[in-house]
Amino acid sequence: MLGEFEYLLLTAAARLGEDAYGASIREAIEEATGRRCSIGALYTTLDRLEAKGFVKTHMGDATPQRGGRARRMVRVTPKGVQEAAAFYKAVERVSRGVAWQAVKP
Amino acid sequence: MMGICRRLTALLSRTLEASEREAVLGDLAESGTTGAQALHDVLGLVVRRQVALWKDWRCWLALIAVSGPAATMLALSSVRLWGSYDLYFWIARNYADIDPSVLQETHLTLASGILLMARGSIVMACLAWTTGFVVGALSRRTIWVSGGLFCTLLLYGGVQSVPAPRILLALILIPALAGMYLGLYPSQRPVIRGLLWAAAIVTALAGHQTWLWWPTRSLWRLQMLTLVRYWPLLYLATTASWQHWRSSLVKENHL
Repeated sequence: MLGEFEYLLLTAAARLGEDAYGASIREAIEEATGRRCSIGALYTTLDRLEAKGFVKTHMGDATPQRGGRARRMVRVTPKGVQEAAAFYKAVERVSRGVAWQAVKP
Repeated sequence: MMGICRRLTALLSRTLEASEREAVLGDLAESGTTGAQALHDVLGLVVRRQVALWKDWRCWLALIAVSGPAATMLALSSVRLWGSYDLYFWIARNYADIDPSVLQETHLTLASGILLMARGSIVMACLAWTTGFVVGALSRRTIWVSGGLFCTLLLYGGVQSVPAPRILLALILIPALAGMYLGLYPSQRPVIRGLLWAAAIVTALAGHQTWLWWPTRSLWRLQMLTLVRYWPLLYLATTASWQHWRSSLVKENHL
């Protein structure tokens, strides 16, 4: 079972497709959650997902706006898609019948 | 302030793997993150990476069982070795005033002195080189902790009533650093491997050296320090057996 941040990372990478790399994934996560995403969390989670076979990464081209440095490109594998879908379904199932706006803490 | 942060960020990022450093610094440049924030980001990643590295038992083995004891033993041995050097240096300086028959009777001739100094220096260099190699091979990316402890103890561990001169410590430190480099970036050249095996055997058989710090009447905990000289040979034998076993397993699978 995926962790919350792992799911966020996989989803952001899947949505970005060919443009998925460190900085773009980070920006997508920050936009979606409204919270700061640390580079440490991003890269260690990326390594963990790669070790599990959920993503594949490779070094891409260098661009001038990156100071001539290469990007670490990310691609979600079919296994990763399957795992993210399973996580989403689990969240959907457990959320059924719960209206968060109506729940008072 | 910005300049200091940039320099510190660059310095910290050196502890990362080359490809990761490239990607991270590129991401920071692209997102326009600079100064303290960039430093904070890189520091966070470095800390996470180091914590992950220290989950490997080999790093702890290198730190506790090799770096500390080996450096202490080398430092103490260098003090004792310097005692022998000092005696023969004194004899050489006052050779004209000493009765040759006294030197013959006490076996403190210049020839025996040169032989002892040469033998002592070679064994010491072998011990430093091979233990440095084991520290490097086991530590890998935690070398800055294990290697740092090793060098610090080597430089300050032997400072007792008669500290060994810095020149002698440097003679140990240079082979130790060369050994660490070889441990980190192993060479497959037969000559280097042969030399390493030879040095490890010399190190293991070094117990007969009179100058070697050998605490026969000390606490058992101190006596355990001398086990360090077997580490290089043990490490080489274990890794060689492991590689042989793995290659034979691969051959069997192919058949």
